[in-house]
Amino acid sequence: MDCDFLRRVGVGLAGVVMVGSVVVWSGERWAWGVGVAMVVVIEVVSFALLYFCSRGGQGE
Amino acid sequence: MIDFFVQSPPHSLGWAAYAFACLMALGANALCERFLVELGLSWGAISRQARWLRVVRWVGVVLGCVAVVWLAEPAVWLGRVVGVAMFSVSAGCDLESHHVPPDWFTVGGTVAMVGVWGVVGGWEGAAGALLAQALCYGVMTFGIATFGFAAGGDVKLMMQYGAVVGSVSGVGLAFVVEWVVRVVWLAGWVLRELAEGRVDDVLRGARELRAPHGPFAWLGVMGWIAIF
Repeated sequence: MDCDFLRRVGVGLAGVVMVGSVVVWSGERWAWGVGVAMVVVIEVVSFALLYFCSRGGQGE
Repeated sequence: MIDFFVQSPPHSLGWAAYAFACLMALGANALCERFLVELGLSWGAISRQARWLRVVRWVGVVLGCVAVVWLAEPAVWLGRVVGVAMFSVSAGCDLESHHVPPDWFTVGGTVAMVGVWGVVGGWEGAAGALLAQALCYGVMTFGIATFGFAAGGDVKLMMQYGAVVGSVSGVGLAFVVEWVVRVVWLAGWVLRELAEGRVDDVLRGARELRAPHGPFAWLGVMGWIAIF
Protein backbone atom coordinates (compact mmCIF):
# COMPACT_ATOMS: atom_id res chain seq x y z
CA MET A 1 0.00 0.00 0.00
CA ASP A 2 1.03 3.59 -0.64
CA CYS A 3 2.18 4.99 2.69
CA ASP A 4 1.55 8.57 1.63
CA PHE A 5 -2.10 7.71 1.11
CA LEU A 6 -2.28 5.81 4.40
CA ARG A 7 -0.77 8.78 6.24
CA ARG A 8 -3.52 11.00 4.84
CA VAL A 9 -6.11 8.49 5.99
CA GLY A 10 -4.51 8.45 9.43
CA VAL A 11 -4.60 12.24 9.69
CA GLY A 12 -8.22 12.28 8.52
CA LEU A 13 -9.15 9.74 11.16
CA ALA A 14 -7.33 11.88 13.75
CA GLY A 15 -9.67 14.72 12.74
CA VAL A 16 -12.62 12.39 13.29
CA VAL A 17 -11.21 11.48 16.72
CA MET A 18 -10.79 15.18 17.59
CA VAL A 19 -14.40 16.05 16.76
CA GLY A 20 -15.81 12.73 17.97
CA SER A 21 -14.28 12.97 21.43
CA VAL A 22 -15.91 16.37 22.01
CA VAL A 23 -19.25 15.20 20.59
CA VAL A 24 -19.28 12.10 22.81
CA TRP A 25 -18.18 14.10 25.86
CA SER A 26 -20.96 16.65 25.37
CA GLY A 27 -23.57 13.93 24.76
CA GLU A 28 -25.70 11.99 27.19
CA ARG A 29 -23.86 9.84 29.74
CA TRP A 30 -25.86 6.73 28.81
CA ALA A 31 -24.44 6.89 25.29
CA TRP A 32 -20.84 7.13 26.45
CA GLY A 33 -20.16 3.40 26.22
CA VAL A 34 -20.66 3.13 22.46
CA GLY A 35 -19.24 6.58 21.76
CA VAL A 36 -16.03 6.07 23.72
CA ALA A 37 -15.51 2.65 22.16
CA MET A 38 -15.90 4.09 18.64
CA VAL A 39 -13.55 6.99 19.33
CA VAL A 40 -10.89 4.71 20.80
CA VAL A 41 -11.09 2.20 17.94
CA ILE A 42 -10.73 4.98 15.34
CA GLU A 43 -7.84 6.46 17.33
CA VAL A 44 -6.01 3.13 17.48
CA VAL A 45 -6.42 2.64 13.71
CA SER A 46 -5.22 6.19 13.03
CA PHE A 47 -2.27 5.81 15.41
CA ALA A 48 -1.27 2.48 13.85
CA LEU A 49 -1.41 3.90 10.31
CA LEU A 50 0.69 6.93 11.22
CA TYR A 51 3.13 4.93 13.35
CA PHE A 52 3.92 2.32 10.73
CA CYS A 53 3.94 4.82 7.87
CA SER A 54 6.26 7.28 9.58
CA ARG A 55 9.98 7.04 10.22
CA GLY A 56 9.06 5.09 13.33
CA GLY A 57 8.98 5.32 17.09
CA GLN A 58 10.52 8.12 19.01
CA GLY A 59 10.10 11.69 17.84
CA GLU A 60 11.54 14.98 18.88
CA MET B 1 3.77 24.01 60.86
CA ILE B 2 2.81 20.38 61.53
CA ASP B 3 -0.86 21.36 61.74
CA PHE B 4 -0.58 22.97 58.34
CA PHE B 5 0.45 19.67 56.78
CA VAL B 6 -1.74 17.37 58.83
CA GLN B 7 -4.88 19.44 58.28
CA SER B 8 -4.32 19.96 54.58
CA PRO B 9 -6.22 17.66 52.21
CA PRO B 10 -6.43 14.71 52.14
CA HIS B 11 -7.52 15.00 55.78
CA SER B 12 -7.58 11.27 56.43
CA LEU B 13 -4.00 10.67 55.30
CA GLY B 14 -1.94 13.73 56.22
CA TRP B 15 1.77 12.91 56.35
CA ALA B 16 1.34 9.56 54.60
CA ALA B 17 0.01 11.31 51.51
CA TYR B 18 2.93 13.75 51.45
CA ALA B 19 5.40 10.90 51.93
CA PHE B 20 3.77 9.02 49.05
CA ALA B 21 3.99 12.16 46.86
CA CYS B 22 7.71 12.53 47.69
CA LEU B 23 8.35 8.87 46.85
CA MET B 24 6.53 9.23 43.53
CA ALA B 25 8.55 12.36 42.74
CA LEU B 26 11.85 10.67 43.55
CA GLY B 27 10.86 7.69 41.41
CA ALA B 28 9.91 10.02 38.54
CA ASN B 29 13.21 11.87 38.78
CA ALA B 30 15.18 8.60 38.89
CA LEU B 31 13.36 7.25 35.82
CA CYS B 32 13.94 10.54 34.00
CA GLU B 33 17.66 10.25 34.84
CA ARG B 34 17.71 6.78 33.29
CA PHE B 35 16.13 8.00 30.07
CA LEU B 36 18.53 10.95 29.90
CA VAL B 37 21.52 8.63 30.38
CA GLU B 38 20.23 6.56 27.45
CA LEU B 39 20.23 9.78 25.42
CA GLY B 40 23.85 10.42 26.42
CA LEU B 41 23.02 13.14 28.95
CA SER B 42 24.44 11.76 32.18
CA TRP B 43 25.57 14.22 34.88
CA GLY B 44 29.18 13.96 33.77
CA ALA B 45 28.39 14.65 30.13
CA ILE B 46 26.40 17.87 30.47
CA SER B 47 27.44 21.49 30.83
CA ARG B 48 27.31 23.48 34.04
CA GLN B 49 24.21 25.34 32.84
CA ALA B 50 22.49 22.03 32.03
CA ARG B 51 23.32 20.77 35.54
CA TRP B 52 21.49 23.74 37.02
CA LEU B 53 18.54 22.95 34.77
CA ARG B 54 18.63 19.38 36.07
CA VAL B 55 18.62 20.57 39.68
CA VAL B 56 15.64 22.80 38.89
CA ARG B 57 13.86 19.79 37.39
CA TRP B 58 14.53 17.62 40.49
CA VAL B 59 13.25 20.33 42.83
CA GLY B 60 10.31 21.23 40.58
CA VAL B 61 9.06 17.64 40.34
CA VAL B 62 9.21 17.13 44.11
CA LEU B 63 7.47 20.45 44.81
CA GLY B 64 4.90 19.74 42.11
CA CYS B 65 3.94 16.34 43.55
CA VAL B 66 3.75 17.75 47.08
CA ALA B 67 1.64 20.67 45.83
CA VAL B 68 -0.81 18.23 44.25
CA VAL B 69 -1.50 16.63 47.63
CA TRP B 70 -1.88 20.04 49.21
CA LEU B 71 -4.24 21.35 46.52
CA ALA B 72 -6.30 18.33 45.43
CA GLU B 73 -9.57 17.11 46.85
CA PRO B 74 -9.35 13.85 48.84
CA ALA B 75 -11.27 11.95 46.15
CA VAL B 76 -8.80 12.67 43.38
CA TRP B 77 -5.43 13.30 45.03
CA LEU B 78 -4.09 9.80 44.41
CA GLY B 79 -4.84 9.84 40.67
CA ARG B 80 -3.39 13.31 40.32
CA VAL B 81 -0.16 12.52 42.21
CA VAL B 82 0.45 9.40 40.12
CA GLY B 83 -0.39 11.33 36.95
CA VAL B 84 1.77 14.35 37.70
CA ALA B 85 4.71 12.11 38.67
CA MET B 86 4.35 10.15 35.44
CA PHE B 87 4.01 13.24 33.28
CA SER B 88 7.00 14.81 35.06
CA VAL B 89 9.21 12.11 33.54
CA SER B 90 8.10 12.98 30.00
CA ALA B 91 8.19 16.74 30.58
CA GLY B 92 11.59 16.50 32.29
CA CYS B 93 13.09 14.54 29.39
CA ASP B 94 11.64 17.04 26.92
CA LEU B 95 12.97 19.96 28.95
CA GLU B 96 16.55 18.68 29.03
CA SER B 97 16.90 16.76 25.79
CA HIS B 98 14.04 17.94 23.51
CA HIS B 99 13.13 14.26 23.20
CA VAL B 100 10.27 12.36 24.78
CA PRO B 101 10.81 9.03 26.58
CA PRO B 102 10.46 5.75 24.64
CA ASP B 103 7.04 4.67 23.37
CA TRP B 104 6.62 1.98 26.02
CA PHE B 105 6.59 4.75 28.62
CA THR B 106 4.49 7.41 26.85
CA VAL B 107 1.86 5.09 25.35
CA GLY B 108 2.03 2.66 28.28
CA GLY B 109 1.67 5.58 30.69
CA THR B 110 -1.42 6.76 28.84
CA VAL B 111 -3.04 3.33 29.17
CA ALA B 112 -1.96 3.10 32.81
CA MET B 113 -3.50 6.49 33.64
CA VAL B 114 -6.83 5.42 32.12
CA GLY B 115 -6.64 2.46 34.51
CA VAL B 116 -5.78 4.72 37.45
CA TRP B 117 -8.76 6.99 36.76
CA GLY B 118 -10.90 3.87 36.39
CA VAL B 119 -9.85 2.76 39.88
CA VAL B 120 -10.35 6.24 41.34
CA GLY B 121 -13.52 7.29 39.50
CA GLY B 122 -15.05 4.07 38.18
CA TRP B 123 -16.32 3.69 34.62
CA GLU B 124 -16.94 7.45 34.18
CA GLY B 125 -13.40 8.22 35.33
CA ALA B 126 -11.89 5.83 32.80
CA ALA B 127 -14.21 7.06 30.02
CA GLY B 128 -13.31 10.69 30.79
CA ALA B 129 -9.59 9.89 30.58
CA LEU B 130 -10.08 7.96 27.32
CA LEU B 131 -11.93 10.89 25.74
CA ALA B 132 -9.38 13.40 27.05
CA GLN B 133 -6.39 11.53 25.61
CA ALA B 134 -8.30 10.97 22.34
CA LEU B 135 -8.97 14.71 22.06
CA CYS B 136 -5.29 15.48 22.63
CA TYR B 137 -4.28 12.88 20.06
CA GLY B 138 -6.69 14.28 17.48
CA VAL B 139 -5.76 17.92 18.02
CA MET B 140 -2.00 17.29 17.97
CA THR B 141 -2.02 14.94 14.99
CA PHE B 142 -4.32 17.16 12.96
CA GLY B 143 -2.40 20.27 14.04
CA ILE B 144 0.99 18.81 13.14
CA ALA B 145 -0.24 17.60 9.76
CA THR B 146 -1.92 20.91 8.97
CA PHE B 147 0.30 23.55 10.56
CA GLY B 148 3.47 21.63 11.47
CA PHE B 149 3.74 23.32 14.87
CA ALA B 150 5.25 20.33 16.69
CA ALA B 151 7.03 17.02 16.17
CA GLY B 152 5.68 13.48 16.19
CA GLY B 153 6.84 12.76 19.75
CA ASP B 154 4.60 15.56 21.00
CA VAL B 155 1.54 13.52 19.96
CA LYS B 156 2.44 10.78 22.46
CA LEU B 157 3.36 13.40 25.05
CA MET B 158 -0.06 15.03 24.68
CA MET B 159 -1.88 11.69 24.85
CA GLN B 160 -0.26 11.19 28.23
CA TYR B 161 -1.19 14.78 29.15
CA GLY B 162 -4.86 14.12 28.37
CA ALA B 163 -4.89 10.87 30.33
CA VAL B 164 -3.23 12.57 33.31
CA VAL B 165 -5.77 15.42 33.39
CA GLY B 166 -8.55 12.86 32.96
CA SER B 167 -11.37 14.96 31.51
CA VAL B 168 -12.12 16.89 28.32
CA SER B 169 -13.05 20.05 30.21
CA GLY B 170 -9.85 19.74 32.26
CA VAL B 171 -7.77 19.44 29.10
CA GLY B 172 -9.32 22.65 27.77
CA LEU B 173 -8.61 24.55 30.98
CA ALA B 174 -5.08 23.19 31.32
CA PHE B 175 -4.46 24.16 27.71
CA VAL B 176 -5.54 27.75 28.42
CA VAL B 177 -3.21 27.92 31.44
CA GLU B 178 -0.38 26.46 29.36
CA TRP B 179 -0.81 29.09 26.67
CA VAL B 180 -0.96 31.93 29.17
CA VAL B 181 2.43 30.73 30.48
CA ARG B 182 3.72 30.39 26.92
CA VAL B 183 2.67 33.92 25.96
CA VAL B 184 4.24 35.38 29.11
CA TRP B 185 7.46 33.46 28.44
CA LEU B 186 7.52 34.54 24.80
CA ALA B 187 6.84 38.18 25.76
CA GLY B 188 9.72 38.04 28.24
CA TRP B 189 12.05 36.65 25.57
CA VAL B 190 11.02 39.32 23.05
CA LEU B 191 11.45 42.12 25.60
CA ARG B 192 14.90 40.83 26.58
CA GLU B 193 16.01 40.67 22.94
CA LEU B 194 14.63 44.15 22.23
CA ALA B 195 16.29 45.57 25.36
CA GLU B 196 19.61 44.25 24.08
CA GLY B 197 18.97 45.80 20.67
CA ARG B 198 18.52 42.54 18.74
CA VAL B 199 15.45 43.48 16.69
CA ASP B 200 16.52 41.29 13.77
CA ASP B 201 16.89 38.30 16.11
CA VAL B 202 13.32 38.80 17.30
CA LEU B 203 11.96 38.90 13.75
CA ARG B 204 13.99 35.84 12.77
CA GLY B 205 13.63 34.01 16.06
CA ALA B 206 9.84 34.26 16.14
CA ARG B 207 9.83 31.81 13.26
CA GLU B 208 12.75 29.75 14.48
CA LEU B 209 11.77 29.61 18.13
CA ARG B 210 11.68 26.00 19.24
CA ALA B 211 10.72 25.64 22.86
CA PRO B 212 10.16 22.14 24.25
CA HIS B 213 6.47 21.41 24.61
CA GLY B 214 6.62 19.20 27.71
CA PRO B 215 7.55 21.75 30.39
CA PHE B 216 4.79 24.14 29.30
CA ALA B 217 2.28 21.28 29.27
CA TRP B 218 3.46 20.32 32.78
CA LEU B 219 2.92 23.90 33.96
CA GLY B 220 -0.54 23.80 32.35
CA VAL B 221 -1.42 20.68 34.34
CA MET B 222 -0.11 22.24 37.56
CA GLY B 223 -2.02 25.46 36.88
CA TRP B 224 -5.21 23.51 36.26
CA ILE B 225 -4.74 21.57 39.51
CA ALA B 226 -4.09 24.82 41.38
CA ILE B 227 -7.28 26.40 40.04
CA PHE B 228 -9.57 23.35 40.22
